Amino acid sequence: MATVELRDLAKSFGAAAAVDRVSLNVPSGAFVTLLGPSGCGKTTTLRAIAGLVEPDSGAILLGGEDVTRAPIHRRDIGMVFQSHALFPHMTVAANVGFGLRMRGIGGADRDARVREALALVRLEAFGDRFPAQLSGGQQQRVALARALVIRPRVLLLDEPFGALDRKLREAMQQELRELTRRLGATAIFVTHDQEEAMILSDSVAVMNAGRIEQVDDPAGVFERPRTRFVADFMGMGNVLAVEAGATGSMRHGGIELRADADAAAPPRHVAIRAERVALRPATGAPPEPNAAEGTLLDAVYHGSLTTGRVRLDAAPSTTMLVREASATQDAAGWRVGARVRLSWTASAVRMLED
Amino acid sequence: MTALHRLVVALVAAFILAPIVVVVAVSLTDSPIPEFPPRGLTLRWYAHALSEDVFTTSALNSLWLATIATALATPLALAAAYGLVRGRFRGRDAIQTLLLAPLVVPSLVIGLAILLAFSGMGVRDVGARLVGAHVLITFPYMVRTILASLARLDPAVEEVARTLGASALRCFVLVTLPLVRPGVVAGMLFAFIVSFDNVSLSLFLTNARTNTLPIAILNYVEYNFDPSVAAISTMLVAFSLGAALLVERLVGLRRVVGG
Amino acid sequence: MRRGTALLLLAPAVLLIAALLGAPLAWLVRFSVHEGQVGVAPAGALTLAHYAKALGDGFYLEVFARTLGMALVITLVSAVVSYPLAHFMWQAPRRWRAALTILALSPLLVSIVVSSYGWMVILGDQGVVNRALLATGLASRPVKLMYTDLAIVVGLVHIVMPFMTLSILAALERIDPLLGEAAATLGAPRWRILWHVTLPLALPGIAAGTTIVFSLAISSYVTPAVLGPSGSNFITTLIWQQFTQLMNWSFGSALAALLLALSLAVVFGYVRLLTAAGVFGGPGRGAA
Repeated sequence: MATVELRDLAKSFGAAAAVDRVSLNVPSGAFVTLLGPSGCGKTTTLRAIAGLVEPDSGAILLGGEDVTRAPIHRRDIGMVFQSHALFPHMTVAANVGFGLRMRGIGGADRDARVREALALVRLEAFGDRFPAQLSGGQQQRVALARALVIRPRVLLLDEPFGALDRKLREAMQQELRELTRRLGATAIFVTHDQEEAMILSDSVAVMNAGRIEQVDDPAGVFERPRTRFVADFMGMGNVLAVEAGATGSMRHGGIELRADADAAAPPRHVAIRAERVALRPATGAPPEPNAAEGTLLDAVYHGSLTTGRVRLDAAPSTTMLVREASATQDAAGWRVGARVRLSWTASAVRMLED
Repeated sequence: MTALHRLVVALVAAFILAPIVVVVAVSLTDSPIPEFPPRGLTLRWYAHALSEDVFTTSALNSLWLATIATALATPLALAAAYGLVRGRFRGRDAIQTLLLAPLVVPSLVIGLAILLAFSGMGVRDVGARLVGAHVLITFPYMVRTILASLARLDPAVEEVARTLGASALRCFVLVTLPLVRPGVVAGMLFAFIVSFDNVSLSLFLTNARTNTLPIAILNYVEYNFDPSVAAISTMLVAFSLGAALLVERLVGLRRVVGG
Repeated sequence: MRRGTALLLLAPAVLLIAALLGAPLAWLVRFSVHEGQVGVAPAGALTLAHYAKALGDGFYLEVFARTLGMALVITLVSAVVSYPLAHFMWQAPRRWRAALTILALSPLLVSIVVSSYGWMVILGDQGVVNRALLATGLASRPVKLMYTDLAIVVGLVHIVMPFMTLSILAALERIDPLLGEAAATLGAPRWRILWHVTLPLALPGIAAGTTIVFSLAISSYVTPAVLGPSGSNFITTLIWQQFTQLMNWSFGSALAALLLALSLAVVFGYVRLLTAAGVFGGPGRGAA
């Protein structure tokens, strides 16, 4: 398995920039996810690596070799699509063996490697079936075996589990994770599902409008978003506009906020994850930093967690989200219409770049 | 569905089938003139028709013509349809309209234009101008059928073949072609019928010595009224409907005819 | 696919159309603007006299008017006859589909010489219809049906029906089946659903079918020649006469060019007109 390096990759369709000077380094054996909403350029980036899209400028290096202009079929890439894209007129074994056949590998050697690949995805017994005779999960596992059997330099996965139902998707995520770790495969995965990205990846590249906004490990993008977009997309819950206040603090309306880090420049927005806000009955105590009182507008129960919306007295146009474990919440505070006091720690306040 | 609607549909179906049913029935009549309902039953008109040189020679001509026209139109249509579906360039719609244009231009005008132009170039060979004209009118049907088949093919299937190491040509031969084969075969069959049954073009391009079967029938009816025409027509119908049935099973006729 | 590859794949086909359709049509138009011919080539001065004659002479204008009138009748009749069939195909169970499709398309699948012969047997003086009329006493002498305008209408409606039926069916199939159910739950009786919901939504299909059928009708030759009255009564038979009997290729070419222009104007102009009028819900569909 090889490293993947993207240097200032750019691609426009007509006047619209789909990929806007993207640079990314994927170490050998790493599992990297391109995460973002539809139209953010993640799929175009992936297709450019595969050679299915020709970039306008920039370079793509596989294992240090520049493949930017190399034809698709000479790149040694394993690709898995959302529509499993199995060849409907070939058996499972012929599907898996296709890449070997293209490489002139035949006979017993090919059979052995096909068997081995099918064993990897626990489908040894299905070699003689046709794709239409398999379930959705099995089809996607065949697609995976077909991509892996050629021992590609990099495995590219374009929302491969998007068409599967939730339970099956979770099982497949687990399987893919174990498989790629075991094989030490370099993988680039595209998804719009942040949970999926965090479960699978060594590192996550969050994309927006053709650019990578942040590359970090899963905890990094989740806990420490750098930009407003990432904060929003990773579901921080609260992104507040702030002005510089006295002695390094910030103000949002009448609320004073303090962070435990120093920003180079005074930020214009901060993010506070809803889970890190505590809700208690109001006390009427005088205002203090990183706390605010208000009225609970509503509370939505979603199983283990409950999310509340609170209108703040000191910033009446702002509703803050607060999310607590349903089991441990303060019964008195979580009555709709109740007067409540929200508080959070300085470490929960993330200062954002614009 | 009301009873009235059923009745109307039955009448419409009777109208559609009337000339065909009458021709088939008349071919079996035991009288020297076409009579419906047939009087007595006989197959002697079939024997008579098959012993008529005008029918057998022209039928062979028609078979050759339809075969050559289809064989020439198929690779052209396959390449063009593939380029249209997978290519991304401006003027795509205009080219598609152009390729389907022979369906919009009146046959009579095509026939005359080809007759004049071929004569103008000094090409007097009936076979050459017939083949040219028949390739021209079978071609759009093939393009349309293959386009429909290609449109239903997931592009990711081809893309995955490319990433697995197949060159564009191998991808086309090993993946694309087998998957659109029913469409291609259906298009060929339909093209064959279109050519075999054609009258309005051949009318201008044949001559007294070189004829197609439909033209021979048309000429025969002008001077003879015996039921052997019905017999040869019935064979023509059986042939066309058989091929049509095959097309319907392969891809569905409606995809070929359009509308 | 790269642009170059695609264009390379398209090149032979475009050449085919250019060589066998474009160039011959250009040659035909060249004939039409020359005074006459020498041998097989246009000759004499450039002139628009043939067009002036075709469009200025009352005799030819009458043939044009007659053709358009007949085509109009044929179009209307085929719409009325095809709609019930299309509606039936739309609602029929799936397993009937293949048989119904073959039925609806059979006029197209059977050579026009076969159906023409069939109509001759049906409509002739000794034909099926006349014998029935005589046998039932509805007529005392054979009624002249063959070689009349009526025979042309019958024969042409039969041939063009598949196009009308398929166009209407395609439009019906785009209707959300829940619409009818919604109308029914709102208490609309069957005929009102047909009148207020189904028919208006089938209108784009009827419109598209009308286009195709009209252009087919004005350019048909075999049916008017075989089933119609003798003499030049259609544009097409007139053109045929100019070429084969009068050997007036230049004038015949002018008539053919006018027919082509008329036919293309119908196909492209009518669609544009209807699109502008909002008959087609979405973007306008080209004719088949």
